[in-house]
Amino acid sequence: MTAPVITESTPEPANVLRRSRVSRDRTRVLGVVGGVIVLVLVTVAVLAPVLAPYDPTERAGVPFSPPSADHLLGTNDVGQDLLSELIYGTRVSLTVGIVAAAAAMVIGTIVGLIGGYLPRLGAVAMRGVDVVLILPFLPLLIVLAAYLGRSIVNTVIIIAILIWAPTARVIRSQVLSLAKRDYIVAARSMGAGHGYVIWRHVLPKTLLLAIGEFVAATSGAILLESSLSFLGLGDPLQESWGSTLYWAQARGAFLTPAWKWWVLPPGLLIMLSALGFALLGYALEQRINPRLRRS
Amino acid sequence: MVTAPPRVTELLAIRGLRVTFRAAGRDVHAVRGVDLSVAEGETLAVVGESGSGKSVTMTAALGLLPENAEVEGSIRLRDRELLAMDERALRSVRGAEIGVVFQDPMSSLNPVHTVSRQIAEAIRAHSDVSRGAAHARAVELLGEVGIPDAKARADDYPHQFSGGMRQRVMIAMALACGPRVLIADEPTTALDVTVQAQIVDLVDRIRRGRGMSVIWISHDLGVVAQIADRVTVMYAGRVVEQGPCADLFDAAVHPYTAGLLRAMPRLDSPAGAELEVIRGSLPDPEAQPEGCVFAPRCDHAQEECAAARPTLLPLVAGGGHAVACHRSGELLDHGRVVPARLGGSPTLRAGADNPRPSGAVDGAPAGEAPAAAAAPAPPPAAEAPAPPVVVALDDLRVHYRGRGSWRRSAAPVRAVDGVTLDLERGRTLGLVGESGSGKSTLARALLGLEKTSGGAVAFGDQVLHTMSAVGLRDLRRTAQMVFQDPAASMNPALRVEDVVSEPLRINRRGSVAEQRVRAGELLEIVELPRELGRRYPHQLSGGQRQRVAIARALALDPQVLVCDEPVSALDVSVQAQIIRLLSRLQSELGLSLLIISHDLAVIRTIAHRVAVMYLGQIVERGNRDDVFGRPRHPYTRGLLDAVPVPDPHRRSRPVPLAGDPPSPVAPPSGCRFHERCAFARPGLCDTTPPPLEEQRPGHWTACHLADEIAASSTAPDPARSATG
Repeated sequence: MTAPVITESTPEPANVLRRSRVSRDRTRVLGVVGGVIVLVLVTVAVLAPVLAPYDPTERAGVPFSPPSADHLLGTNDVGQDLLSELIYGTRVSLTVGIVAAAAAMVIGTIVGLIGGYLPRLGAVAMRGVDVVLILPFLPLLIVLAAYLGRSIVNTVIIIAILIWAPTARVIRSQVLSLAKRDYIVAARSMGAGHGYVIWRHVLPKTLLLAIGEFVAATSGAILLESSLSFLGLGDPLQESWGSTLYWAQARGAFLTPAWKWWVLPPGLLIMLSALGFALLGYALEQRINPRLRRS
Repeated sequence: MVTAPPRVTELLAIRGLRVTFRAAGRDVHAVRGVDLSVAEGETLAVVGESGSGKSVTMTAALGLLPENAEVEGSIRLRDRELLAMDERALRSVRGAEIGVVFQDPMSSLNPVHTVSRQIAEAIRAHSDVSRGAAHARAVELLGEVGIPDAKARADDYPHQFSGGMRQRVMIAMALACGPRVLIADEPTTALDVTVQAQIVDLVDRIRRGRGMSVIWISHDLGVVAQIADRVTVMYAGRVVEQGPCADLFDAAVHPYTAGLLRAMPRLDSPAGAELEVIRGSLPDPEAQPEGCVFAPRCDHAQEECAAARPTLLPLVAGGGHAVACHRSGELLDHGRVVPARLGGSPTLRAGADNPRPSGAVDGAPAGEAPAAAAAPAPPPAAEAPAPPVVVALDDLRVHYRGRGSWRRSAAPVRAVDGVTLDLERGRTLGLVGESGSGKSTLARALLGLEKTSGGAVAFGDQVLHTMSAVGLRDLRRTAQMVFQDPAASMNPALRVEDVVSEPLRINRRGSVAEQRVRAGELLEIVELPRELGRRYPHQLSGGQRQRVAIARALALDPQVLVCDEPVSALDVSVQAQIIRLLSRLQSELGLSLLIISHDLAVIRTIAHRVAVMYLGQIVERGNRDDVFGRPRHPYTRGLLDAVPVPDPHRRSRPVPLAGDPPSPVAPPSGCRFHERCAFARPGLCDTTPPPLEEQRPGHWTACHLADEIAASSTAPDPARSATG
């Protein structure tokens, strides 16, 4: 590295990249990759009736048939087209993931606002967050699912209950720092109530953060939904990737050559969607979260 | 080109330095051609306001500029060109030959290492010595910079030191490798005046002891006059004037330097004297003016000033005094007393009573206040009836709960501990004290933003803590606040007009359109163009932002304005503008002002009455002239003595107060000041708290010995006895 030195009168532009800019570029690339994955998945979910070659509930071919020109990923034990099942499964997996994460974002933001802005009530609320954070995920998930019954609404509720706590923490820390700003004190000295201050000054500044958290939480929600469905605790009427795996397991596809077209594709899709949302969430967080943002 | 006096050798010489930051297609010209040099053993002060390029110049000398900075020119240390050195060579220069002390010692020290380890690290970076030897040397250095009991304290962590002590540690670190030059970048700006005086003395003593050079970067002309041999005045990236300290202060030639000296509130000017205002604000750093950078603000500017850039030329009189001004010859001929604009410089009427005119009704735009109110009222006479009291604090206490373990609650922090004060209509009360004395807490308690632990705040016959929520809302309209940092006190996402009209929106006054109109009026009241309302706060200068903050505080037609350090975040030339504005608003609107400041000169310029606060209590209060002219409390005396006077001929001052204020968690018994007091009498001052008594008419003092101290002409040396 040479210092940009010009001793006499030969001005020459210093063409040096700042180190932070390099890492910012890398973050942006990851974010774009995540965004493309998410976009493709959403498109598939929206256009499922157009893209899917068959109705996933229809018996389209011979049961247990391997991939062929008619059925690109073969058929399952009742002769339903696996590719169509996966395409329609995208709808269920994404819907559950996004709705559950959105619900978690709303709960987390509200609890975070209370936790950061109202000291007394906030202390109680944050103990609640601590409790949720230390709950063992999977056992609780199974117990709740078994107790509440198998339906898509219950799945969303269960997942939301489990994943809102980290969002609440992030929001709270932001609110804590905002609440001490002079302009909030100024608003209070003008006679502003808590509602006004939160609505006008605190919420707008935490919303971006909440959106970043939401995208990251979606990734976790999709994984949880798949786990539930794989355990046979998902909605029996809504085929998701997880339930495809459940049936594959139930029919012994894990032990036969069928795993290549029955087990691998839904597994990869789950991984890919979780990765896509995680990358997008990471990139957003790097841009938004003041604690992670560099200079 | 200026050449240094031949009697001494140049140690560090900067020639034709230009620094341009290139970012996102915009060029910021931080330094636009600077020539300066420091000779062996001398103290060079580099003075300038924010954006003058003084810090960037020194950062360039250290080779620490960010990589998007483009540097031209030459920086030579003895015979070596620093700009031509590679990173490794530079590293051997930094620390070893050039030591640096920064403004904020807390952020410059690593909080997880002991101070001795950090100093030893600096030593071992440049010389091959053992850990033990480096540690021993660190202890020695800590002793040299005046850390009491250095051996024991060497293994403490930075947070265990007070602000002043931390700055001493930083100085010790800068001295670790025996540098030839010490660059001190605003080293006392974050410190209290009493501590500042200690640091100034320390640096000067070390410089003489070691025979090194010091480059002292500062915006404070008072400090500069106390320490500098030569002074370089920078403005907008250029040197405008340079010369021996005494010449510069006695006969400043450049209109900017002269204006700066007159714009500065000072303790040694006659009371109620005018403050001159330098109009306008600093130029856009992205612009590249053809001519003199100061021309747009200069009263003497002519056509040639805008056309050609003046070079820094030595004056005919010689003596190393050089000025960059086309008209320096004429300005010099007429002597220093150059008549300012013919309209006359704006005057302050701080000494006058400014009662609220009875005709002005709440809600009427201030601009329509009767013209008579703007005329200066007769000076306060002793027999005149005191103006009515607007706010009265009675034995006010604000204690914060300490953070103890879960079983045992800790002792409370007594931020405000029994303060009785009143604020009179149309008058200004100045509240002074060191940091941690509870001034800001007092202000917040007055506004009902802080829960009181005892006593009362009464607005007329309404007592704050007995009020309902609705009553509190009403009350908040009568008292409003202006904050220290105008940038932090505004939501950056709101436009200026929304910031100004926010109080109206909160209190549902009028429709949105009416609020807009009112915002425009308010902006005009604080002398800002209406069009500024469409901008965002970050697009404004510091002075403009503070005006916006004042406009916002006026939106609800308050009777009381609480200003917490209203000018300390601003540059000197802008300070005067804001002080003048507050004074004018007071006379036009009949406002009662509570002005909190650590800067005694500012308080003296604007306040009618003054209260001095120490560790949560008022130790002295009275009329401005009594408190400043005949201070009776030893603490007030110490504070006044510690303020640097911008006069290089008056350097032999009494040694200022020693030590730091004790902790408000466990205040000393008896008189809280007795540990630092030179006059304290054992058996009296350390056991019995002195009451705040009216020892002279209208002049209250909390000191057992005030009469004796006033009588004794020979004051003991406070430095010696303060520690004993």
